[in-house]
Amino acid sequence: MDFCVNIKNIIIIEAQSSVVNVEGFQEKSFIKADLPKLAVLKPMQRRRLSPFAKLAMHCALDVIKDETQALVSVFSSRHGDLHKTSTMLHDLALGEDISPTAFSLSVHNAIAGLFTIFTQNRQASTTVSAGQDTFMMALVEAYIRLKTGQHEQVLLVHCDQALPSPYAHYADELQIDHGVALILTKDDFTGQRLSIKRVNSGSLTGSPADDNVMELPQAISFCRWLNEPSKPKTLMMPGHQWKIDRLCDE
Amino acid sequence: MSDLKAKIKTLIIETLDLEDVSVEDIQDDEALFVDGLGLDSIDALELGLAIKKTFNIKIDANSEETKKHFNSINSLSEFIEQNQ
Repeated sequence: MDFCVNIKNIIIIEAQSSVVNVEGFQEKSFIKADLPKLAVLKPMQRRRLSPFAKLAMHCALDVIKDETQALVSVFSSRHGDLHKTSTMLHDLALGEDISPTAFSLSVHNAIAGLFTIFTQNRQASTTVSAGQDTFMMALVEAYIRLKTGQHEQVLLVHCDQALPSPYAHYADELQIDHGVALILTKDDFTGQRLSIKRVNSGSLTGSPADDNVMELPQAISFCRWLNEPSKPKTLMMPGHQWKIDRLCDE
Repeated sequence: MSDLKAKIKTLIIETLDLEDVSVEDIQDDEALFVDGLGLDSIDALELGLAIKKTFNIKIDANSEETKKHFNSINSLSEFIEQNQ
């Protein structure tokens, strides 16, 4: 797999404060007071947004704020709103009734649904999940949208949170609450042009979970690198399966 | 305001995350759904569940009577008093 994309605009929000989780690992998550306030939404729209929804919605609304037309969108999350799902599973296991509100917003494309309602966007939307490769597969999906569709631009929104405690044991990458949103464009002259290649790394043996050193989630590595022009021209993604190069004035 | 009515109002605010609404903002005879407080069908289910849990009352989700009980704070408190 080998393709090029243009990133026009990018927003990232990530938790900064570390806590030690139930498994004894450092994780970074937002406390309620530090979550985005989403003042642009009406109180009745805002009230049902979980922390997960707030992170994703904040980035999505911020990145499109200067756009004049509704964009086709790709949403992605490795785990979805797992804190919500996990609470519902807990209630079910205890034989309790589950919250209708939580249930109604628990599908994987719930954020896409809310976002398109809030912004009155009737364009097509896809929601992706693909394990550790989720963010890169969302980029692939966005590229496909641009390449095959009638659209000049695609909105990509990705969000994941540190795993809830019942799942903390299964962590295979650093656990950091984060949301990102980017606009990809067909126009070669706008923003940063990147070449993306899927590579077969010979050095990869066993699963990344075997390593003692956990790596960053893909979306965070990608955004930190992209936002820092002084960083090297090439980014090798965690897992070393993806090679991304900045293409400058070529 | 009766204790029960105040309790129902607090329950509504907390259960439905009405962050900008206080107990004083909800009128006893005001419609809870659509026009008045602006609650919707998901809220009705959520509120029904909360009332069931808090007051240990069985609610028939499909009956026309239930609709009437959920009209306002007044009708809800009457319904709860009769069924406790």
